[in-house]
Amino acid sequence: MIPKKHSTNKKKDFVSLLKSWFGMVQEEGEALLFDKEMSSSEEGSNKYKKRKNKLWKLLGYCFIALTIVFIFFRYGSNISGSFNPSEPKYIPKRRSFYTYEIEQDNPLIFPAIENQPALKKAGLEILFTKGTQGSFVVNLDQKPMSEKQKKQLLASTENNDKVLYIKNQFIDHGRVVYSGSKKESPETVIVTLVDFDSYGLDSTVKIVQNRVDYCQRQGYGLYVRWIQEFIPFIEEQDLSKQINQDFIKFLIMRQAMYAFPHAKNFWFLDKNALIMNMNMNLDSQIFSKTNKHMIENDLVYLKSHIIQDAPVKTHGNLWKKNAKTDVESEESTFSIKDTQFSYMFAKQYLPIENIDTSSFLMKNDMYAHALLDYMNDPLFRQYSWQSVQQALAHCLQWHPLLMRNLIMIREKVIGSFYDPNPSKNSVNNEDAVTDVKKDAYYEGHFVIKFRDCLRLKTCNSLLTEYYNLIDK
Amino acid sequence: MLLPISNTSKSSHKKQLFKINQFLNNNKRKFLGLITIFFILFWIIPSPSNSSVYDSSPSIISKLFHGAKKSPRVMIILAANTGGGGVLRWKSEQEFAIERLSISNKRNYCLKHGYGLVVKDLTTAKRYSHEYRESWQRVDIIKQTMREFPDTEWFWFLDIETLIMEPRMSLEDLIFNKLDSVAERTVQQFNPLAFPINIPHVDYSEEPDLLITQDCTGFNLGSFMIRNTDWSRLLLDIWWDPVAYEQKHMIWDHREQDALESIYASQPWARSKIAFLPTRLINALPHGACGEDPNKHKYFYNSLENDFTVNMMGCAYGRDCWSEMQGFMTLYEVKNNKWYNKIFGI
Repeated sequence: MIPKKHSTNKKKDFVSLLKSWFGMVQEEGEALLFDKEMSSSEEGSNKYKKRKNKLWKLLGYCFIALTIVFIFFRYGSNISGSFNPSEPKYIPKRRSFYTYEIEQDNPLIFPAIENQPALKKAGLEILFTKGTQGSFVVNLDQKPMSEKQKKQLLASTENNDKVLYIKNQFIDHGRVVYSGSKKESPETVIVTLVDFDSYGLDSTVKIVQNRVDYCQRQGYGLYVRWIQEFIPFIEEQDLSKQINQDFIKFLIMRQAMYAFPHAKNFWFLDKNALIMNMNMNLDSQIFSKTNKHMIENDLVYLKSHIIQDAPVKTHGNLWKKNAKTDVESEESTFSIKDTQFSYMFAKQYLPIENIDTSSFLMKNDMYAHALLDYMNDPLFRQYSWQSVQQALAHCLQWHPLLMRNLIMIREKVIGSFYDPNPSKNSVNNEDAVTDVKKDAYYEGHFVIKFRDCLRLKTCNSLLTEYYNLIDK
Repeated sequence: MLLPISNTSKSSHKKQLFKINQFLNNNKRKFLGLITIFFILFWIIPSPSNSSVYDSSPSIISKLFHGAKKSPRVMIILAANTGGGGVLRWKSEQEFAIERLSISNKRNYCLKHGYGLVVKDLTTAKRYSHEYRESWQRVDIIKQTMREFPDTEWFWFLDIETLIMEPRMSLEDLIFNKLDSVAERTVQQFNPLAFPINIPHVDYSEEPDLLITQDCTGFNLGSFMIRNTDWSRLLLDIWWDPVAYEQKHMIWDHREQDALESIYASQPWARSKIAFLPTRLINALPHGACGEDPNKHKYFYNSLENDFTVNMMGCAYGRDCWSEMQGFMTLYEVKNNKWYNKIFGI
């Protein structure tokens, strides 16, 4: 009982305190009688109204003041926060392997081929430095040669300086990027690796000249580098193994995408291939095809194994969701642009059913970057792969999202293979050709590839023979 | 309240009430019929939240009645039932209690801010038995949840031993609206694993899609946020990859965490969209989770600085989960007691 009494007393005190605060009533007794008294008499009600108005006014002021304080606390803290300039976060600049770059406004990027004999003579021991574990390394932070240095080295008669000049030129070539704006930039870039060790100077000149001629005619960009430039960036540095050479293809693709940031398509074309028909291009061969039926049957492989006996097949449907495939009419046109693809690999049937990695297309987008980076991951590369095709097939088969963005095309579209014993009546009657030889090279085809020519030691002679056949 | 009500107004009011009453009385059946029809309509028409997500276009009627009920922008994924959920061993009473507390904590938070909450089971399946993939469920769980809620933008993955300590803070205010200033794009500030800071081809021009934190052992996957994008789906796809894991599963004791660290170390496409939040923001650790460390102020929970979420990571190993949970729960109650509750002693 006692605490209850106490609390009521307290409450009364509190009420009287409030009322005295607002200047309404001074005495407790008056306060209790207040309401009745005021409502009953005329005079009182006037008085009451006045006081009431006063109270409302006071309450209003209080409310406004509180609102201002509230608003200040709510948003003022944010304002004060935005006044303090937050320290800029460190965001590194996008870069390639090398710290320094050399900008070039010509979209044809290729190394000084005339150095080939000198490079071969110098060898890797001089071009790179030996690291602690006996592998070749290169100093990535070294500055490129200045004009003055170049002149100095060229003027010198000493043999050492000449070698140093060639070495610097060799390393500096990796730093070259195309500096053209988005408008000037070529849409397609041809990427090629050349080899100063196992190819003759004649062959290399023909390979590069063939691509330069073609790119100039079609307005493409060109990105050629020595395969030996990439030796410090791989773990197994023995280029005599085919697989080590093949992994470099993916390294150079990523570099090419860096060197031509605004180009859309990147076409890797191996060194033992020649573009035979200068009037054909990727547009006429692939991108401008509009007949849906033709694309599905004669250009791409749907629901097909990518390597022999692979458990996973390519997609059965090419088209994007928004390409209205359900409306099947003769007039509706489809082009490869309506498809969801980031890379196109050709499928080879000879010697075995496999992915062809000597000629392929890639877009400069996220899926292509992911595939390339994944293939270039050292941990991935050092797995005991039999061939790069096996590694690539693994990527595609284990990752449905990577597979979704693959288009498997017919080999002859971007590279027919050289057939030493061609079927005779094939030019006139293509149906007569056996299925496996459908992709062999015939006159008028776009590109010829000399598969296995290095092993058979026929590269130089074949390149010379077919280079002379090119109609210009 | 104090003004006397005049008699005239009172009577007119009464009259009006009487009229309405009469009207209702006369049309009893019609009203009942209408109400029944409405009731049946609401009953029959499935609400969009119950219907499967695969059926992408809900019927016009259900749209009309349920309005544009969108899936929430942010969703919390809570991984419950660690270790098979009582299949491999008895699930103790304390574990049940921890789960209950943790779930209600997140539930209250989500209700308050309009986020979604999914509680997912860390089931033990045959898929995880090969090469010690026991803790890899979270990759599958996120993939699955992304499929279930295609319109949700952000997913916040949380382990069960976590508590949101400051439920009044919304994630938008804390993180999503000021990603640029909150998140670090590189490991330059805090690099316990000594990653190379600048690798080639990384492109930081776009907003990050994966927000993680680091503690003394490297990445901490007890609490992280992932955006529902193509990039995220591709990362979840590549994360599982067996090539690296086959070579390293005997060495990597943190399994999926080590696999992600390896991807971060050498794949620029992934690094481009990963950002780091301050550890104490969404993943503060209790003292004892990491040993003595010069960086401990970066990840040990500090109640004075109102750290948002606490993660009792690894409490099952040599520490007492239940007492830790109780300790933080008490602190939570003290911190979130409203001022009027304090005055009236409720």
